[in-house]
Amino acid sequence: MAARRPLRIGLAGIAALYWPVCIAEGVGARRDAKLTSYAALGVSPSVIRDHLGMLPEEFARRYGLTGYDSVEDMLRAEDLDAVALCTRHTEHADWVQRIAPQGKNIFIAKTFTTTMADADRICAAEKRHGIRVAVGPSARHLPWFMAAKRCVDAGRIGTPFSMHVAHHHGTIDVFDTADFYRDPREGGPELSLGWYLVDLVLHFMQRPVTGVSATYGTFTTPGSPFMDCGKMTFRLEGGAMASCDMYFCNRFEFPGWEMEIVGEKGAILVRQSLGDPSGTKVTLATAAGRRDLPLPARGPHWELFWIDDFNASRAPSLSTDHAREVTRICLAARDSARASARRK
Amino acid sequence: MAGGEIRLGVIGMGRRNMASTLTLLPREPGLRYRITAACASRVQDIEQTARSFAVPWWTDDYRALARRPDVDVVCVFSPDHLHFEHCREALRQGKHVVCTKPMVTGLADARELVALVRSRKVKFLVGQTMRFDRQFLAARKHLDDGDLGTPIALESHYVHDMRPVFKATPWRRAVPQDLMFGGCVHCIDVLRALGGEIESVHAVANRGGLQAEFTDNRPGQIRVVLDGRAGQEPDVTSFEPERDLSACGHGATVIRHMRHFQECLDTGNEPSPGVLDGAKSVAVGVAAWESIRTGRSVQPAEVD
Repeated sequence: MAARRPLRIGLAGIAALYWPVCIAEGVGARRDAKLTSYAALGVSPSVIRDHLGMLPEEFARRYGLTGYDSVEDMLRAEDLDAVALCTRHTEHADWVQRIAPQGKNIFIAKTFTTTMADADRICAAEKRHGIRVAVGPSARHLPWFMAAKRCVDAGRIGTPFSMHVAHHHGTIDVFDTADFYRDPREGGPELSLGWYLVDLVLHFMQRPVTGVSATYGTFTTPGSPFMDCGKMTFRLEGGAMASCDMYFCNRFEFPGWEMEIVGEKGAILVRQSLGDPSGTKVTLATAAGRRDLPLPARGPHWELFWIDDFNASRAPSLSTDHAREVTRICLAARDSARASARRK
Repeated sequence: MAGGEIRLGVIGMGRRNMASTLTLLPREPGLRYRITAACASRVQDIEQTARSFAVPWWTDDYRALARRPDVDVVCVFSPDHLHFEHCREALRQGKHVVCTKPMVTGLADARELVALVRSRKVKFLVGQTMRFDRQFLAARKHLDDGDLGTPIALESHYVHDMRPVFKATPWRRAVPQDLMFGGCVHCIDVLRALGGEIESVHAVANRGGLQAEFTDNRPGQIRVVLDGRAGQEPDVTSFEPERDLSACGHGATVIRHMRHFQECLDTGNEPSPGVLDGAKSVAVGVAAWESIRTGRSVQPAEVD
């Protein structure tokens, strides 16, 4: 039987700080995928340099890519299996609608969309053209959350009814002043960091969110158009509750993730450690006592898990319907923070 | 009293409740407390309790206790819903007051106690003793030393297996505590103590999901970790759990708490947390309930 060829991927858009390099580096380390090309989408080389940190020619040379201006040119010339979108968040739906008719699977680097109308357009295009659209990354693929989820799914804590998760991040200062991320229309941390947290809540609690309350503040980045510290509280179906802290304000090394999830039979505590030599801990507390859970040796790459899904011709582990729901909740949280009122 | 014995009258004296921790005080070097009177609603119980603690006078009438000239400080450890009338009576009699948490459970009562303390010019200490737990004192020191810079976010959790507490204080079943004032007030006070005044409250609540034991209840080590400083290893302060003979295991904390009160009586300084702190915590709790009902952010009412 002939070996399956590596998944051939093209980038749509390279005027972004993180994703083009992340995907180029990550795919370059795999045998089951190959990044062949990019489409600059009409963005000038100087603007690309402002976002990417290098000119397109240098990017192409460094990763062995063929550059195109339009996505249509790239799709015509390259025998691609998938396109990874690294465009402005407000353009995701437009690009999906342009690429989907070509029958290519698409990865959308979060933020998924900034409006529900855009989310609906993506979901509709995916269904109409029979392609698969994956959205990511997802913190659920991080080893400590995988260990926790395995434990929850095994029923070790019973049915979860309360959860808290915190994510500590750097600051908006990593983005150049010209970066599109700084444009409030692109959603900011309310959608990009909120994405991780809401995804985790839905992933672990397995219940719809029925109510959202949020409080946002700006403390360490006075020039920022966004909040840099946010707290979201969720009411879930059946009376369960969850809360999330997102910090976009840390100028120091700090554990990136913390979580506690409580069920009627036990609790799981997660604390990722960057500096503490005792390391990252996932602790299960039950009537039998406390014990630290082993972390999985390996799992899906937390940023490139979609390559596994596309190669296996299976539904992405983060579907567009899920991404739509995450977006709906993040937008409700932002609305709640602005109005100081709970939102459904 | 200045420099001399400080005579305590304890309302709500029991052999296994928090009031029993006061019996540790006379043995502590430097403390000048002595329990001279005790009160509880069941006269047979209070006689037995008073005898076991060598308290010379006992009653089932809190007013009689508050009137006694050999009582300098009335310590209120009665059920939550009785705190107000017991504190008010003590203040009307011109006594200093130590009141276990929650100070009261309503805004009007809180405001009246604030006014009474001011008009009578007495000292009032709220029994939010967690401020005096070593881990919170360690956190306080980190804040005061500027190790964190200006705090921008605080988080406080309180998880309590209440079953042993129900056995020691059966009134909690007869007159169920308001969770906000019986439990959440611990978190509220810690947040206020470390973070300052609370401007608005947004709260959600759930009822009764927890059915089975999941804590091992074995004493564990307590750690205060100062982490995340650029280029520096985490600063870890570890404590073994404090052991003492008090029923609730809070004896060492109560001793620090009451040492602070003695210093306030001697120096004239205001106790912390004082009556205004207690009132503000009540206002936060009231706002939290309103937020739960309405789904809106609520500003705590003025109590000053």
